[in-house]
Amino acid sequence: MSMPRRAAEVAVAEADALISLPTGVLDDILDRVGLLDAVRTSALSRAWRRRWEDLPSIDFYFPRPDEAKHLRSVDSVLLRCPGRVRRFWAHLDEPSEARIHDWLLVLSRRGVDTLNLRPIPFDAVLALPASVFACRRLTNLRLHACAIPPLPAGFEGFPELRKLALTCVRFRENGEYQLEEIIATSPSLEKLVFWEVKIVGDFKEWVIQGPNIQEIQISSSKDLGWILGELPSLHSANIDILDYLGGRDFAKFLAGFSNITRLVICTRHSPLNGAIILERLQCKFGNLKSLTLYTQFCELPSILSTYCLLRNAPNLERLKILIDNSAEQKFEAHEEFQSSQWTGGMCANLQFVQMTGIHWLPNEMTFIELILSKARLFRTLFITHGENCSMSNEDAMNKILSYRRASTCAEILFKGKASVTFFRS
Amino acid sequence: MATREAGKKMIMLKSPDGMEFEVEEAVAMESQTIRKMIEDDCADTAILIPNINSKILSRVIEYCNKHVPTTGATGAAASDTVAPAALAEDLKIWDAEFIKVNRATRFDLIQAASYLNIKGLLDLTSQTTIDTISDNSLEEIRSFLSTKNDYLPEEEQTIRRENQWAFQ
Repeated sequence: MSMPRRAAEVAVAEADALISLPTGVLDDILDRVGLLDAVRTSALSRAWRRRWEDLPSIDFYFPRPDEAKHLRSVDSVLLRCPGRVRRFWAHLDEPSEARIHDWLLVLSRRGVDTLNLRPIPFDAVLALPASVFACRRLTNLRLHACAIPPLPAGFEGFPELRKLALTCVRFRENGEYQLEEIIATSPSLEKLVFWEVKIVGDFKEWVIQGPNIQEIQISSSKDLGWILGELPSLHSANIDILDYLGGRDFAKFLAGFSNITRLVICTRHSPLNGAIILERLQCKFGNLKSLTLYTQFCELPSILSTYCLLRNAPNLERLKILIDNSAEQKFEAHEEFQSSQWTGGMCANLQFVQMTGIHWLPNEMTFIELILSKARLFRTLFITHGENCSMSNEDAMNKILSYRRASTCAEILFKGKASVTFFRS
Repeated sequence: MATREAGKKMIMLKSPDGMEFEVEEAVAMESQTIRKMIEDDCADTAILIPNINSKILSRVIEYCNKHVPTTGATGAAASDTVAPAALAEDLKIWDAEFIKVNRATRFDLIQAASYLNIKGLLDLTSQTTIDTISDNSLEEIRSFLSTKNDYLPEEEQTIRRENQWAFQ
């Protein structure tokens, strides 16, 4: 057999090798290239013309704002490809907003499991249609800057919903009870994110509870009336509430998180009207292993909160402190004062401390000195500094290195400058 | 191929062109298809692997040998003293070399990985195709796939119009 002939045969054997792959394998490849490129294969050759339409499932996954234009294709794609739609993830411009009601009805029948909707331009509000509540197979619902409609009569919940993330969404009056009902009728919920949710009307208290909720994140400029109910699976929380629940008791609210292992909390805001952040807690965080504080060492309430949390977390192993850029020490928490905040058993299990954005303020230095001198199992202190430091890094580090260490294996790592990003000024 | 070691159970794999490969059971069980045969006791002496010629089968075994967890592979660098991250990096470099094959071999490997149900190998062999479809013009994809454009020009225009959004 001559070489040219053989080469030609190989070429024929290779021709359309891809389209003759087992269905499942080719489906997987077309799925992984994404909808747009899968549709583009229709122009390769006749054999490819309708191949993408046979995909068992597709995603409308357009996470970038400039991909909003691709939504013009949704009607035609839904018409051509009868398969399941798993994800619908998009920025909706005005023409798409006009279609979203119909799309959601189709998506609900096509078993959509992930919805991530937000409007463009960024300052718009998307009027969400009630058909969103028909999507019974949702496992992940993320809404940003949407106006939430009332629940339809006969709403039966989202039985498979695991993650609910609402950021900058708006509810009408009695939205509290609506949220309460959505959570109560979605027993698979594992993660809740409320970030700047607004509810029209008077303040009302309402209960968050669920057998499988593991993680709650709340970032809010005002109290939305949350009460923590039965949350047997909860192990992680991230709390940033600007007014520390104003008229209610913030410490009592935190007691609802007493069984968690990981807490991220913001205590850096100056409390209004002399309100107390945390001086005493009615509970111990007995399981807490990891604590992240967004705080500062300039004002008394924030310093008291730090000590209060440390006193009540006897099993804490990792502490991260992210210091904001306020570098003016308004209250002097001298050594005697900070020592008086220390109680026996405090930080007994603490091994790792990370301080990010430090200004080398006397209050910060005293805090470090105390930790190093008291924590017996301590292993690593990891420091980065922020803007407007009050002394040179060299002087500060020499000072820190001279502090007495209760743990023989304590080491100190200095990593230069770092900036801390705080979302709310 | 693999040499027999004390205490290691060996399995015979046969390709349709008559070659036999003796491999450790743990290596063969990287294939979920073979694992199932072994667990269902359908594999006393030798397993015939249909549709996969000896050239491809030997490459598949080479892959499985490298990817079998920790101490399994004979002569492999895997050991308890190597950090997992370094091991993963080593595997990535090895994979990149392994996949430097011609188109025909790559599609044969995809077929084999699919039949034998070896997820890692299927992901690895599919990735080049995925990258090609994602990053190239239609003409380049056709050339990569050896696909002949059998559309009439006006037909191709119609297709493009039908799904205009994907061709902009």
